[in-house]
Amino acid sequence: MASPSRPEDCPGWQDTILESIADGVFAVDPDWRITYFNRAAEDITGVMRDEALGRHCWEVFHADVCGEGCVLRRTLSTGQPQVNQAAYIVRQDGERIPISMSTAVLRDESGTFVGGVETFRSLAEVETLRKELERRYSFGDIVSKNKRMQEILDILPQVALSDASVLIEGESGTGKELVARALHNLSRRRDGPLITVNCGALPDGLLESELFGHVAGAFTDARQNRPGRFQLADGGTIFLDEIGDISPALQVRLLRVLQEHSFEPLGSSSTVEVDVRVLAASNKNLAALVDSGAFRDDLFYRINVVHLVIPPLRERREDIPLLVEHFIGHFNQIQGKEVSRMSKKAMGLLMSHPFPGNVRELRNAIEHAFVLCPGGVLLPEHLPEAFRDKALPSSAKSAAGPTSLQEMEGKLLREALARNGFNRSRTARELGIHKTTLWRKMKRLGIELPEK
Amino acid sequence: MQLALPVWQQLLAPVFDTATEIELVQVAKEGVIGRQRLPLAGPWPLLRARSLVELGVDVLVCGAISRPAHMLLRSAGIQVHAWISGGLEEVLAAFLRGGLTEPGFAMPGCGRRRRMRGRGRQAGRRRGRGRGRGSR
Repeated sequence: MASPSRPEDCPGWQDTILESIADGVFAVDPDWRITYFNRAAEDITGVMRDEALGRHCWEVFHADVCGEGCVLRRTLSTGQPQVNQAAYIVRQDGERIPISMSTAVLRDESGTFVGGVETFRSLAEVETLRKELERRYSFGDIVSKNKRMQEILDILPQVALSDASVLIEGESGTGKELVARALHNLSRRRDGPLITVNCGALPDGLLESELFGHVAGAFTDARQNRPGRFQLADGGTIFLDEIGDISPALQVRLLRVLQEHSFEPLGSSSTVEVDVRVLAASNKNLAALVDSGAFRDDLFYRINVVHLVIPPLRERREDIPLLVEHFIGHFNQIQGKEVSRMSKKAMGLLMSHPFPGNVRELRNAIEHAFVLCPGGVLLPEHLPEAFRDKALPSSAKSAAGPTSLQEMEGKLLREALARNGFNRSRTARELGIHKTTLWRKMKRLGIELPEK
Repeated sequence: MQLALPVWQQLLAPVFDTATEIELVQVAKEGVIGRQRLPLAGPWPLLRARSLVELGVDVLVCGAISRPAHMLLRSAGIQVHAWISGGLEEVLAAFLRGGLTEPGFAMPGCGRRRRMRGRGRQAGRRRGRGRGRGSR
């Protein structure tokens, strides 16, 4: 009777194992050219095996350690395998993928060096979770190809390097805090603290104590000294969100801090000096508040040294497909799902949505869809009801409906394009106009098609 | 025109973000009129971008580059030719004759960028693999 065969007896069993694991594996010859590249290595690096084989490892791997810090060279020179070394690779879309890598030297039976092997695993999911926990977003996390957003991104580094106060205006959910965090992270103060205060969330008395701190006995229940947010932000940045909501009395105190870089905590007679950069944000038009007398003009000019206006999502619809892709990648990592893309129909619904809640609303919609979608493609039925309910006229859903003929035309075209799956020929046919006329109108109105 | 090439030994450095040296090349109508090798400041992209601005760099030819570093350089008005690989002299000669797009200078995998964004796309690619391979 034949003995039962073991897995090790199957031809190519080692290859099968290497192809099925989630860790990237590649081997190089003594000339540092890649001789083996498994499937996970393709997935993590974004380079296909047939393109990788025969090329120098640094041309394919582009890790921060490639070159002077090569881990495999270190293994060769010390003779010691390197295990779980932290590094990152730069993928071709510019994303930095954190990895953990290990190396070993390959020798033949006579002990002659014949190459090396490197195994690596992506830590992108761990990094995303960490970012989410620490809200550690940076310049690279701002996703946009909109012209107005690009203009902001272009000046952001210079703005960050100066110590000037910045006023960031934009509707709720446009990402003002993300811009503030990017400014801090790009500035010389990046190693200092970034303290965020939502001025609209606290009653006046509490906000004053929160900003400037208090000493024991300053008011009932003030049993011990407590430093304010300005003091905590010393050497760093303070981000005053919803600054348009603060009272006139507090505006005076704030103005003094901005002018003199000093203040007295509640109940204290001694002055505290601080070195803080102020970033402020408002979802209201502060200039209009100044005109109506609700906001001090001297404080307005003090914080409005650099003025950044984040456009609402409905004015940068070309970013929707890009943001959808970004959030799909994000939630795939956070929730451990394998959602590949959004269907054309679902994308059409998003493209014709007014988005009063801006990027935050879009993010929430994708998160909602992730809850309902088991994996694969996000379909219209996975989206929240507000997106699917197209029976209602959109003017009833949006307070900010089109006001001019041009806006009406733009809205009509966008909706027709979305209905026809962004096929220009079909859209033109439906509208009874020539394809080139449609193209000209789209160009004039700045309507872009989502990427395929 | 000032051209900067991040280098590692006699090769274009694999990653701009962590290259430790650059070859600064002054190019005029008649060709190369000066060259020097300089250290490149720490791993912080902003500091690197500033160093290049201070050196008066107009064009950067480099290997892999992260999105933040690319954006910073672009915002500083520096023209970037990225994802290039090869020997320093070959890459410089190719740049001077306008031949960086010739075969052999692009890093492997260039031109398929859009297919690799996030895990979702990878999943889609993996599913389509069987068909793709067969039709090749």
